[in-house]
Amino acid sequence: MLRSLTIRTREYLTLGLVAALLASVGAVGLWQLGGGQDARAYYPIGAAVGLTFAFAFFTLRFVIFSPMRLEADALAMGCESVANGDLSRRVTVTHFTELGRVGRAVNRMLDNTVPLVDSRKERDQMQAAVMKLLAEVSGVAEGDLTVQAEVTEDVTGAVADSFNLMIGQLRQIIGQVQAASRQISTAVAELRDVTANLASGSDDQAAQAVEASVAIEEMAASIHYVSENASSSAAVAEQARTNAEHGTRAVTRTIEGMKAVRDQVQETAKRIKRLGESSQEIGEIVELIGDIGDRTSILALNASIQAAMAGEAGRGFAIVADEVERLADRATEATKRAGMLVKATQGETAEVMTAMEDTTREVINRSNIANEAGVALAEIQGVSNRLAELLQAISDAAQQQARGSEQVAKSMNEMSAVTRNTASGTKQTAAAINSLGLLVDNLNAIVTRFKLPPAGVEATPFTQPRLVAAR
Amino acid sequence: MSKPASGMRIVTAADGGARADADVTPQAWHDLILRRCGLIFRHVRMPDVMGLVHGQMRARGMSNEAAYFQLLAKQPGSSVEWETLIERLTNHETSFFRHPPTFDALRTHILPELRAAKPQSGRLSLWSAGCSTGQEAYSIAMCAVDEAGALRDFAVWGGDISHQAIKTARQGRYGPRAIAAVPEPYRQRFLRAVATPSGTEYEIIDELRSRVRFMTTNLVEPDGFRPSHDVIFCHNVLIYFSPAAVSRAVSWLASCVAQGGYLLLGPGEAPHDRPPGLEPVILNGVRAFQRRARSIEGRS
Repeated sequence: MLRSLTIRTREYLTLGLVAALLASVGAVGLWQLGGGQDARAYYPIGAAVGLTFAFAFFTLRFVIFSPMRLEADALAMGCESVANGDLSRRVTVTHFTELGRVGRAVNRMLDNTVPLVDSRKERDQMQAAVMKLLAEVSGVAEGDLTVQAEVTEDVTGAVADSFNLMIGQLRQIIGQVQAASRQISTAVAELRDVTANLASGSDDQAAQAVEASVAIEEMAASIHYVSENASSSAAVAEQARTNAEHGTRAVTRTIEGMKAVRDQVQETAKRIKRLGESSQEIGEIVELIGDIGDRTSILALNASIQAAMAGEAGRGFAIVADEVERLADRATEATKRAGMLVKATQGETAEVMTAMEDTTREVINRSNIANEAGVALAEIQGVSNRLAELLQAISDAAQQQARGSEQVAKSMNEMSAVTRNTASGTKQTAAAINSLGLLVDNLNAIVTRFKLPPAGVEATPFTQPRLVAAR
Repeated sequence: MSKPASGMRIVTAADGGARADADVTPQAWHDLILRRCGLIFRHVRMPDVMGLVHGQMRARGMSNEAAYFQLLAKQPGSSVEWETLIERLTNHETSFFRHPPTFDALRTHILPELRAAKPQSGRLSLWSAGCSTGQEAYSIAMCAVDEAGALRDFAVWGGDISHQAIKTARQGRYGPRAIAAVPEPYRQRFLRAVATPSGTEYEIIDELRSRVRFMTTNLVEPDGFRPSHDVIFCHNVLIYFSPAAVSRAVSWLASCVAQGGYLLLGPGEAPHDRPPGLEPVILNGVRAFQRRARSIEGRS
């Protein structure tokens, strides 16, 4: 009812009411001043107030709120409402004055034109809805993925719905990326440890390979030295064999010489024996001569006896007989000396014979010893031969070993080069893993800027196999 | 068997190699190295040797191989250029107590005998000829301290052709793998663990290190100075020398052995000729060469 009143009407009404109120207050104040005890003293005042109200009412109803005036007010109010944007409002036509017709015309006009104006309203509404939606989802720009756009009935509802779907999926993806980058971080840390171990291990290995190759080189040199020594020992053994051969030949010649000496000694012995036999004969002859001497001596004695018997005639004969006897005596003496000489010769010959026999035995002994020496030398020769062969074999074997160990040394050198390469490769890998770690840290920093709802809300964790899983 | 042949090549190729701007053959290098430092390399090793020579050449900023050959051919074996090249060519393989029977013989036979023979004031001198990075010299010193109970005075000398090896030897610091061969009691007594960024290393204690002196020595081209030592170790050195260089080195080593002293060569390293003035003896199953106390010092 109040709504249908114009503003001015309301002003008047308000004025009237304020005046009535003031009048009532004035009446009560007068009563109080008058110190009125009697209730009947209030009646005029009450009547005055009632009259004032009645007057005010009638003035308002028929002067101020006349139909014309009311319709003008309604017309103005309706137009003002429309002007203020409330296009659903129409002018309330209560009377059928001219102004009422105007009001109806305005209403018809509004009925015809308002649909045209509605689209603008819709646009404003949409703009408002979009602003609201934007306000709701602006957090996403800062990485807040917890936001949820309100799904309304209007046009933006569908957008909000799709937006929520998108955010949901983004949440899932970011969640997975976060999980993956966490796992990569762990894996990179493990890898870093592994490669650090590997790097220090391959450094150690390289150092050991160098040590080993140096040791093997020395072994190769040592074996080569032994091989050369064995080689020259073989030459020495060969020399010994040659010497033994010379010795054997010398011994053979010695034995032959000894044989010749024995033969000659035997020949000499035979001759001496024969010499002994001749002196035996000489002895016999000397004895015979001695005999003849003895008999001559006896004959001479007999002749001298005969001469003595013949006396003076036989004197000359006696002289001859004496001479003969003297000669015979001298002959006997000579034969005695000759016999003694012959005996001495025979004794010496026998001694020479014994000595010769001893010599022969000695020569035979010596020949046997020389023979033994010859056999020993022949054995030495054989042993030296065998020795030379064995030493040659040792030398060959050592040379083989030397070659082998040189090959090993060479391989070790190559191996240590490879190990050095491996070591530097491992270091490079370690460096690469370090930079990978930095990248992952960066990635982590980026993805952790996104705020996700607490775990479990969006239940699709990233379940890829671990990067450093076995095999 | 192949020795005389290669010996023949040495002379001819060395002459050929000295000719200017001719392409330098590996054989020429082989022979030059052989003449200068007595080191002999088998043909299979020559590619490695050539690689090392070229590396040294490039390090010196030269690219003409013939020119570099000429340069080296003109310089004596003791020049810096040769020393640097030798660093690259030599094998530094060694270890503590490498041939244990030799060290047993040293501890149980040689040192007691020498101590008994030396007058009370006598100081024993032991030499590790070709000591490489020093392990042998320190092993000898450990044996000497162990045998004498550190009462007797002794000095150990270590000599090697490689400056780099001598530098390492003087430091006296070794990795865990190197000291594995040191017997546990010696390890406790003579080594000290040192923590380094690359892991634990072991250092020879100062008391022992002060007893060992190191210097560079060329066994093939020795300087005029002839030291006198009671014990000379020369293990796994001769194997790198040509037969002629072995004879020269052994003669020189023999001349450095004091009266009653010993020369101990590596097993299997017996020289072709007996070291002059020394007599072979077997100690604890180890072949050694001794200069008999009464014998007249041989001048070789």
